[in-house]
Amino acid sequence: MRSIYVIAIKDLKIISRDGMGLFFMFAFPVMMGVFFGVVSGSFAPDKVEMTIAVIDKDNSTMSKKFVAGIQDSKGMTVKQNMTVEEASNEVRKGKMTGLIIIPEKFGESAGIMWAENRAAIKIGVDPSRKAEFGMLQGIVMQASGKLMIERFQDPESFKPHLKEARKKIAEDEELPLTQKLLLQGMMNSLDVFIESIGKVQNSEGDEAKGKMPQMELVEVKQLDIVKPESNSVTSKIRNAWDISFPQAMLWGVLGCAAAFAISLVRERTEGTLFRLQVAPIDRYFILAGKALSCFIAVVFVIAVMTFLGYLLGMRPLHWDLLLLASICIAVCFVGVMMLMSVIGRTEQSVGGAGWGIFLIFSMFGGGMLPLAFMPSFMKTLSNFSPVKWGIYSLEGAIWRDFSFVEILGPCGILIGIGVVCFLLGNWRMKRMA
Amino acid sequence: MIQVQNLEKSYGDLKAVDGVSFQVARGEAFGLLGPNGAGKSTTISIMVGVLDADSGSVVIDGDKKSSHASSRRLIGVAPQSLSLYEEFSGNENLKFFGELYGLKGSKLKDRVNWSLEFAGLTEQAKKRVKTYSGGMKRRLNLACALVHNPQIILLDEPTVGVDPQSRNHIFDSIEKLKSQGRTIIYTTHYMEEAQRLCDRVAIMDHGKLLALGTIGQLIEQYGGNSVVTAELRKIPEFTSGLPGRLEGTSLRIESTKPMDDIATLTSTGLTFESLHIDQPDLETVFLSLTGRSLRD
Repeated sequence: MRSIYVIAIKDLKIISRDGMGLFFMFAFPVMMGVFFGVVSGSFAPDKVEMTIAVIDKDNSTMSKKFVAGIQDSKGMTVKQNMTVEEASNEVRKGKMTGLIIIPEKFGESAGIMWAENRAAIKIGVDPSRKAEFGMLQGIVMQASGKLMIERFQDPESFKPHLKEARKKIAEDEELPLTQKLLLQGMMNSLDVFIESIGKVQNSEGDEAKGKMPQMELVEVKQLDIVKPESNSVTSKIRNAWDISFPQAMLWGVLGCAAAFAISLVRERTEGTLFRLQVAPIDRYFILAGKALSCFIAVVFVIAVMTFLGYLLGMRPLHWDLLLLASICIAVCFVGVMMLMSVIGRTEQSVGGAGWGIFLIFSMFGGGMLPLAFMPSFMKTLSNFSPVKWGIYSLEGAIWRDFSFVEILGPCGILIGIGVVCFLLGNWRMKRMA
Repeated sequence: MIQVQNLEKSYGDLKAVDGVSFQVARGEAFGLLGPNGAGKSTTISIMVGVLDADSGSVVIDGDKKSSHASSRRLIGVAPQSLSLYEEFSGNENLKFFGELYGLKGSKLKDRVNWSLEFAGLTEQAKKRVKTYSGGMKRRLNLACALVHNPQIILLDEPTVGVDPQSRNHIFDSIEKLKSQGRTIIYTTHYMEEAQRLCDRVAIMDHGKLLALGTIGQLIEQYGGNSVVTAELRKIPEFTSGLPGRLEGTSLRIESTKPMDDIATLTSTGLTFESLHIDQPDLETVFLSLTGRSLRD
């Protein structure tokens, strides 16, 4: 058994002196983690930043309130005093996300549901940023909703519009009687409502206008699917690093597996494996020594990445499950390493083909692009990638709040992949010898 | 000490080792001589248990199979390729291989120091192997085979690619080991090395053992006659009794006992401008056995 330890220590020493190997085990994954963390952090709704131009052709009180409503949206920078041509050019060059044109007479009908011949708002967006178009539409709708509330909160200016509407309903000969009655009933109700607001405002003075209860068309709150019974995760733990560091850890693990696969080939090509084979130790002890060193390195890489993630703000929910996931990932990638080491006969072929395969694993397994953004067939393919199960198990421990039973699924798959790959690698190695 | 019995090993259609049998006595220096691809390294690999023979057997030290750990402890192997960890120092390489053979503590330290001294690398012990010259690496390669103090030493082409100085150092080292009573098996395709170091030589080609014996026996059996070429000062008056063939003043004699023939010529009063004797060697033996040169 001592020989297993001796071989493992030897391998770890050699790896620690391999600058390029260390880069791919530590520096590269950290870079990936930080990169993905920054990117995924910038996707959060409260982090989206947009610069748009607003061309206000109406220049009325209501249009100014509308512009103010848009400016109130988080991450929104509004540029005014531009012509349509200037704004269009800026959008075309990618310097701004889009532009909004407020037409003349906008203020006359803004915030009135039944207004006829309404002046339409125009929105133009950079064609490559379709996602932001939807967001901009939502912001425009929100600002329009505020104008509607604004109308209700100013009864005197709203009354003439009600009177006009009532007149039009009465004069409309094509409107069925039942509908006429229903609409007139609604107008009566609105009359009463507007009167009530006016009375409240008059009784409490001009200051009451500003103290009116804020009305909202709809309130939207984000549901925390991770901890339905508590908001602790949302408010304290969960952040972009929780999402990006499992990916980064897997990049570190891939770096480890690649480095050890190449070192195993180097043992073969440089003849040191022959020396190990003639030593008075069992062949399986040699493999066990190799496996142990790779296992230790993988667990160490995950531990270091966890520590770095923690410094940045990652807060794993279950440390015990994180340890379990790390062990299972290490078992899996020891097997994968063994198989990788026999796919070629030279360091160059194993290094090249090994990284190629790892990149495919990573691509389909969510190491580059989160699985959520993948089409369904790619999600199905991802089930064949150990990277997917590695990330999934780490996420389960870090932020998916897996129970012990829930994490056994991905962990079992990881161990299964590891064992199968190890046996295949061992079989192939025997044949190569 | 070592008994190799009817070894056979094939790779597909290629018969790498074909019915090889020999014995090596304790303390003997035994040479396996043959060109590249003759089957020497495959035979060595089977002897140390790294390869399984298709048939045949190797028995070491009485009754132990070569694959047994106990027999492996007796063997030290210096492979043909430099089997060293380049990122380690010479000292670390020796320490690691010593530990693999169960050495530890002061015994390990002593053996590592001995090996470094033996290889003439004490001053470079802490430098990384990748900074060593080819000759230094070759010496360390040999030292790694000796660190656990083996009784049987297998040296597979130990002088390939080394400078003359390191080559001499290696020869001296091997002679020292021989004088200590170690059993040495030495593979080479340099006949002069075999002639200098080996008590007995087996000649291999195409996986077969063609001949086996002491160098004298092999030359006597397969080397043919020595050739004496004498340039006479003047053409003798009586030529009928002269051995060999005379052309002008040049006399050429093929003989198994060239010195006796020269003595006979001198006794008849002949004087020589020059005298040259071509004695058969292992190269001649190999040529005689295979019809081609060792280095072909």
